[in-house]
This record gives sequence, structure tokens and C-alpha cells, in this order.
Amino acid sequence: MKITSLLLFLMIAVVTTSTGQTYKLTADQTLEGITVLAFGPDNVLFIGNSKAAKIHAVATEATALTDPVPYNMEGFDQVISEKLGITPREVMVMDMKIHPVSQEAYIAIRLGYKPDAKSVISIIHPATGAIRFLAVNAGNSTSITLKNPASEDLVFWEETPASALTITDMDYHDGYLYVAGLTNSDFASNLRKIAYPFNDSQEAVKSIEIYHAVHTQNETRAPIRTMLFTELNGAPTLVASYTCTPLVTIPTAAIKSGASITGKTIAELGYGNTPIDMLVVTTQGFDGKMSKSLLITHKNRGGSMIPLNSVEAGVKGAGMAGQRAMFAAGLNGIQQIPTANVMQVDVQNPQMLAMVRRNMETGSIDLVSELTGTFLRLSDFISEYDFPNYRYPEAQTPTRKYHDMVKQMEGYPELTSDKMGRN
Amino acid sequence: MLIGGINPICSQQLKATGSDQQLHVVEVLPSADTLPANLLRMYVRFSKPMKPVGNLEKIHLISEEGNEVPGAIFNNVHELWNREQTRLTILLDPSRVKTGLLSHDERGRALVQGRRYELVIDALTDVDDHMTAPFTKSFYVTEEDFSSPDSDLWHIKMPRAGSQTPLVIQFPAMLDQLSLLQRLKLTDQENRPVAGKVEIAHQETAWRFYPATDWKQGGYILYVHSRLEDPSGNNLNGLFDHKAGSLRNDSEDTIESMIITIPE
Repeated sequence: MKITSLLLFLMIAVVTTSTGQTYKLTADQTLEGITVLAFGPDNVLFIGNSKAAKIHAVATEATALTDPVPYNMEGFDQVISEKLGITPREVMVMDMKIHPVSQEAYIAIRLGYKPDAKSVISIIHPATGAIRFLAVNAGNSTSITLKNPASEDLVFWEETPASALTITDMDYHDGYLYVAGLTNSDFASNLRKIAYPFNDSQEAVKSIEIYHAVHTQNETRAPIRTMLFTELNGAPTLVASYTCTPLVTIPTAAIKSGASITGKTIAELGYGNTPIDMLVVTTQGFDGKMSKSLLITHKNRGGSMIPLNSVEAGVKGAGMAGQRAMFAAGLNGIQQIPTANVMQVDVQNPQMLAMVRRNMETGSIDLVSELTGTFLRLSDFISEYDFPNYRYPEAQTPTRKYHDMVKQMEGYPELTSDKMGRN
Repeated sequence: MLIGGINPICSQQLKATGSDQQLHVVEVLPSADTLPANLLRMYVRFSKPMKPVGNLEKIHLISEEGNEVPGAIFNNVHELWNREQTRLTILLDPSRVKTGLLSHDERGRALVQGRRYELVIDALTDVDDHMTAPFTKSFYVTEEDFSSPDSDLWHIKMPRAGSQTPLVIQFPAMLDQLSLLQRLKLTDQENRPVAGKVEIAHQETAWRFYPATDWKQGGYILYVHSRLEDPSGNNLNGLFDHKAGSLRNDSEDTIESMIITIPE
């Protein structure tokens, strides 16, 4: 990664100290069953409320932040729990999205484990560490109840809470919010297309068939786990990762009410795994060139990073139908990246990703930033560079500069090479 | 659980040892002890609301040699609980159940025909942090279930008008209990739901409807949704593991209706 002028802009976050006063949540700041978040047009926040089978759209107000200010909030669960007067183990992180204008982290948290536990959306500012809570039921918010399109006349679902829909992902694209879900009693695909602003128009995609490798005739109606919209080969495309690992592309134009869609399987990402988040990230190579990649984090494996031009080549090709796949396969240049303890990730700014991570040593939940493309935090590791007698030779000047920048970014300005006398 | 304003009774209520206050597994579904090799879904019902996270790692499939079958249980990001947090849906890794996928081809199904397995649920934690002893369900695996549920093959036992004896539908093979509770609906001829109780019996091969008031002579309507599934994910519209173009209907959401005429 080329060192940019990032250092000039770098501001170190100052975490506000606890006042010891418990913050009283108001009724309009809590909801039941928040599962997923997505930002939409004019910075509206969509909130997927699985328990009420509702989507809420809440306008957000934010002050623009253009400087790349990192998050270094270790023990985020401790900070939140102290503020709300609960224990850290009652802080369940459901989703995290970065506000596109303010770079604030919007983190959906379920407060405790009881069936009637409420959820809140906490908003954390990277520069000050200040925490506020979103008024999710404010006057300007709108919502829509997800219909079970199947049974509109028979209303089986509404009468039978035996079944529960878990909203697994939402994405806004060109006037519509796309909602993927998984029910506890049906395995068939479940993708809804909802016009926004909400006007009660909901379309359900009849079925999404995905062809698999080996036998072209094999199909699956598997539910989508995580998805995003991006332009591939000049056409708006839904890229979806399924509960059973294939990576599939569907032209956005094909997603219509009543359509039976066949997605193209372009890759498998390795078995024994379930994907968490999918992002398009921009990284800078050693040659200074910027390029885009698809980044997918997983629950049970390290992340996958795939150059977007490789994904585009996959879309142009025949897909995996008919191929015999031996390993995680289908596309050139699939890289494993170290994201094993990452619970949530989003693009924070052009230089950084924000992450909610489980700290493997303390068990705490940390809200931190990493430089996009490095996919690690230097302070996670002890290496030869950290020994007191280490001196950077002349040839390692770029490495030294990188380390110095990252040490400041990660909240260790006292450990830079000049402060440690290592030049 | 309610269907049309009625309470279903679950027939297989296994009584666990210990006091009623102590957290225990009430039942594991399917309740049969012979299950198909392509089984996709199981349910575990607990006596108290559970912590809705961190449970899947503590549920294990054990082979007859006593070894854990790795990667058998799908480690979903969100655990699938009912609202009351008393029933957990377990998916056997669908990429191994489904033919044609990398995982299926390399590792095969977790369940092998002709072998015995145990589903072991470790001591889990409810919302109040009480622990319980592990629970084990033993079962034998038979051949894959590659048949779609078909309402033409159902046997209907009619009650008499003026009685409250149950209307019974018998299925040739087990169906998914939750699916049965929400994908069948009985109404009168004016489409008004009939009040009564639903009971799922005989290891999920029978649906019994006990009316709240006496049956009237004449027509009732039984609605059947095409998403009615068996525990292998096969529904009325086709197999989970189906061939291209073999679904009966392009739409996954069709509703069949059957006229049920109650005799005098």
C-alpha cells in the first residue's frame, strides 16, 4: 500500500470519559428486534425489524466529516453498557453501518437476551467518541410491514407467529429497497423489492434459482445471506452470497415481480461457512494504481477479496455450470484476508474500513478502523520491529513511515520511530 | 402458537427429569427415530426462553463411533428462534445436503444411510443463566427422501356432523411440524376460519383438527399452501434438490383448496 498524505489529516480520537451517570433511553429510541441496517437516499437509515416484520426509514442528521479519523474504541461493549447501566455481556451487536456523510458508526444493539429485549441504534462519532442514540420512532420516520405475499388472502403468517422471518440483509438501489430474509420453517428463497418512499407496493420475487457446478440441471432455491448492488460490465447487478456458499450475480433488470430468476453462479467461496458482510472496497496497489475489489467477510473463515475485474470476467463467462469445482473456485485472484474476528465491517472513508471486532484475548467488543488493503491492525501483533533494539535500515524507510502512520492511527503516537529513537 | 385463533397441541411432549422450573429440552423434531439422509431441518424446543446467541456451537452430531461429524450443523449468523425464544431451528448444512455443490461433492452428506447418529445438545444457558444437563436424541438414517409432498395422496378421515370428533388428515410420510401449523388452514364456505385446536400427531404424519363447536353438515374448505415442506425441504411445488424446469409451478406461492364435505 502506497503511503498517502493520510498522516496530514490524521486526527486522534479522544474518547469521552464516563460521567458515571446512566443514560435514560426514551421510548422513541427503542425498537424490538432490529436485525439489519442500510443507508438509502438522502441519508435515510433503513432499519430491519425482524420481530415486528417491519422496515423503518428514519431521516438522519449529520455534519460532514471528510478527514480520515480512525476509530480506536477498545471495549465498545463496556462503554455502551456503562452508559446504559447494563452489563457488557448484555450488549449484542446486530449490525453496523457507517453514515455516508459524517463517518459516524451506526451500531444496532440488542439490550440483553430476554424475549422482550429492546434494541437501540447507537451512533458513535470517530473524532470525539461521543455516543448518542437514534430516535427511531421520531415523527419524520416512516415504516412498512412486510407482507407474506404468498398468503395475502389467507394471512397464514400473521395468524401464526410459529414462523419467524429473520431479515438477513437489505440494500437500496434506484428507488427500491431489496430485503432478503430467512424463515425458520421454509428454506426457499425470500427476496422482496419494496418501493421507497414507502407506498405499500411490495413485490416478491417468485423464485431465484441458482445453477450449480457439476450438473447444469441442479438448482437451489436457497435464501440470500448477504448482497450488494454494483455495476459490472456497465450493467447494474445484484451480487449475492447464499447460505450454501455460491456467489451469484443477477442483472438488476431481471428482478421483477413474479419473475423466476436464474442467477449465474460465478464462484464458490469454500464450505463450512456462512458469509456476514459484502462490500466493494477501493485499494491502492504498490504501483499507486487504485482498483476495486469485492470484500466478503465470513463467520467461520477468513475473508475473501476478489478483484472486481475478475468478478466481471466471471459474469461474462459461462459461470460455474458444468465446471467441476475442486476448491473455493470460479474466479481468478480470490484472496484470503485476515478478518477472522470481524463481526461487522463497512467502508468508513476512502482510506479506512470501520470494524466491530471480537477481541480474542479479552473477549470484549472493539470498534476500530483499519487501513483498507492492509486488513490488519499493527497493534494486534508483536513482531521483530517492536523489539527495543530494532533499527529500521535505510531500505525500510517506506516500512518505517507506514508503521509510524499506523501507530498514530491506532492510538499509539508515543511509539513512533522518532519518539522511540529508532531512526 | 396460534392457527386461526386456536392452540395447537404438540403430541410428543417428552417429559424430562427434574423439576418443572429446571431448564430442559422438551422435544426435538422430527420426532421420528428414523430420518432421511437428506434431512435439512430439525427443531429443538426448550422449557424456558433461551439466550438467542452462541447455541449452534454447542449442538453436535455424533456418529455411532462416538466421533463428532464436523461441519454438519449449519453455523448461521443469526440463530433462528421463535419470538418466545423457546424453539431453535437447526439447519443441517444445506451445501452438503444439496447435490452438485462443492461441499457436497468433497465432504458428502453429514448423514449416511444405514448408520446411527446422536444429536447432542450440550448444557445450554437460558436468559437467567441456569444450566442443565446435555440432551441426546438418537436416530437411524434411511435413504434420501426424494418425494414431494402430494395432497392427492393424503387420507382424510371425516368426522360426523353434530360431533366434535377431529377431522384427521393422514400423510404418507412425515411433514415439517411448523410448516403443518402454518401452511394448512380450515375455513367454512365463506372463508371464515373455523375455531378449534390443531394437533400434530404420529410423528408428524397426522394433522387433527378439533372444532370448538359441533361440525355442521356440508362444505368446509381446507387451504394448502405450496410451501408446505417436509423436513428435507421438499414442498408441494417440488424437491429441494430439483432438476431444472421440474418445479410444478413457476410461482413458489400457490394455494390449493380442497372441499371437505362433512357427512350427516
